[in-house]
Amino acid sequence: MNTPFTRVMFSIIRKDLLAELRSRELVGTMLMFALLSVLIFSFALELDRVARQEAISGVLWVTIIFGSILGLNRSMGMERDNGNMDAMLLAPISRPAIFAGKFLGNLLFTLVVGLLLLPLTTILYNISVISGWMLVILGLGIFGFCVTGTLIATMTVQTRAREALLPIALLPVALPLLLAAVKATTAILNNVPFADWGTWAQILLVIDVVYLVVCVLAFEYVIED
Amino acid sequence: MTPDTTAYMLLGLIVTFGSVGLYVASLFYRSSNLKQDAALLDKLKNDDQARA
Amino acid sequence: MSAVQGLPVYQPQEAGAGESRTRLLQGYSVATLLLLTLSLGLMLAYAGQDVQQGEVQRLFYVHIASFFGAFFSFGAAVLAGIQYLRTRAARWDTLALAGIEVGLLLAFINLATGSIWARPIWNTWWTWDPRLTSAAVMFLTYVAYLMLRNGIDNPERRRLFASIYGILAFGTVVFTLVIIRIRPDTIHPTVIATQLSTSGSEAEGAFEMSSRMTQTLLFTLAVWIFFVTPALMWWRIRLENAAERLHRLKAQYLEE
Repeated sequence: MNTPFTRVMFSIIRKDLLAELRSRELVGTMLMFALLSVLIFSFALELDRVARQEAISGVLWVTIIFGSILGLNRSMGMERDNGNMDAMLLAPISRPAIFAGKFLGNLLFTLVVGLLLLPLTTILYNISVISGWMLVILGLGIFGFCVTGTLIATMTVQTRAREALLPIALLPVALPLLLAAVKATTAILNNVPFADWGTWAQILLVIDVVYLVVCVLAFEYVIED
Repeated sequence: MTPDTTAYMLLGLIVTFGSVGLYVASLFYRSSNLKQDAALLDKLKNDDQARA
Repeated sequence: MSAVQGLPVYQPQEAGAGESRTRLLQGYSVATLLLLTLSLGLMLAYAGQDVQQGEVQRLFYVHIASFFGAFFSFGAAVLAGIQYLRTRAARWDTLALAGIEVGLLLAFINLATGSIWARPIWNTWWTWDPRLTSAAVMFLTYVAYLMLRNGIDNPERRRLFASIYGILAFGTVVFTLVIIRIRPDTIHPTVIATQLSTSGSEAEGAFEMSSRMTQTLLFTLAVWIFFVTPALMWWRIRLENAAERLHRLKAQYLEE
């Protein structure tokens, strides 16, 4: 596991992690946002238990998505502002490795937020949302979202509107994925047997794979100058 | 019983052909703007030549 | 990248070739207009009225035809995007832009006629049915394409990113087509599919097609796919070329 590819990938991840450990601004911002979002939703939807059970997967995913968008903008903006991207492109390293490094960093931060959100919603909404399948769907959903997010954020940070354009460009493309994730999550929270919502998990998996291939291929073009 | 839904059909047709018409009009509008710009550019060029 | 601020190499056409092309396009547009009128006539006078739904059912022909027109123009944008990535010739990006603008118009017509049909049949203008939702998202994705495009100043980067986004966005078109397979609980009728296999669905507002209706549908489809869509795209491409030319002349003038 010590090929040039993995070396580049891990050094990018290490760089992002070190920067994050020193400044603590990325995960901190994302978590604060997630907390506020969940609180506001719980005020806004002062619902009875049954209605909550239906609404909670929406709350969960909306929070994760917007938290992730905050993180993506920050992570790609950082590369651009400090001229890191130019330096990396000058170095003779493979583009897919850069993509893998940035993507895994984003995935890690979003997963941290998503995992911390589960106990938080369990407490605030008084519904147990932690289960094995829940973790699987959470992982698959966040994976696909971060794949497309890393590609599209790389494009949007190079536009005039920058931060503002990312959600507009990313959300519609990620929608099929989010639909499958929300549907599966709702089913899990309502204790529906796997046979009835398994299709959603399969769809999620297929979309993840397709997006991964497309985004890795497209990334090379997005960063070429 | 066949319901009378003629009004909706007319509305639909108006919207359809109206939006195609609007799009064509926008193409014309944009191209006439371009022509105006081109004429202005020509004029500026001629003025420059006259001055020189 | 190249030192010239991303301007494409422009091949000047011979005046004669350009003129004959203009005449061809004019002829094509006249033919389009005639065929469109004819299809409207078939739709109103030949196809026959649906007993259960009344006159509003006639919108169905335009509804289907505009969707497939949009499908083909978005599809053209994908192929053009791929070609642009391979060749970096600006004309491919111009084709993609034309495809997406015209596709947006057609997708809008598709949504509008659907909504107007739904008011008397479903008793609502809009419902968050899987198929309606995905069609709306498809429309918004391509609006996002135009916004992304307008947000980038460097012309080469704009073409590059637009091509990639145009390819990604086609996912929502495919999604709209396949969603009735993965979400059979849609209330959107599948008139053409039920002709092939009589599957029991929850569709509301489905109807049987007579052979006259089928003929009208095929004719309308052909007119929108082979005439309306390409003619509009052609005009849009010419407009873009003229804009490019003017842009170049301006730059030239400012340099002097």
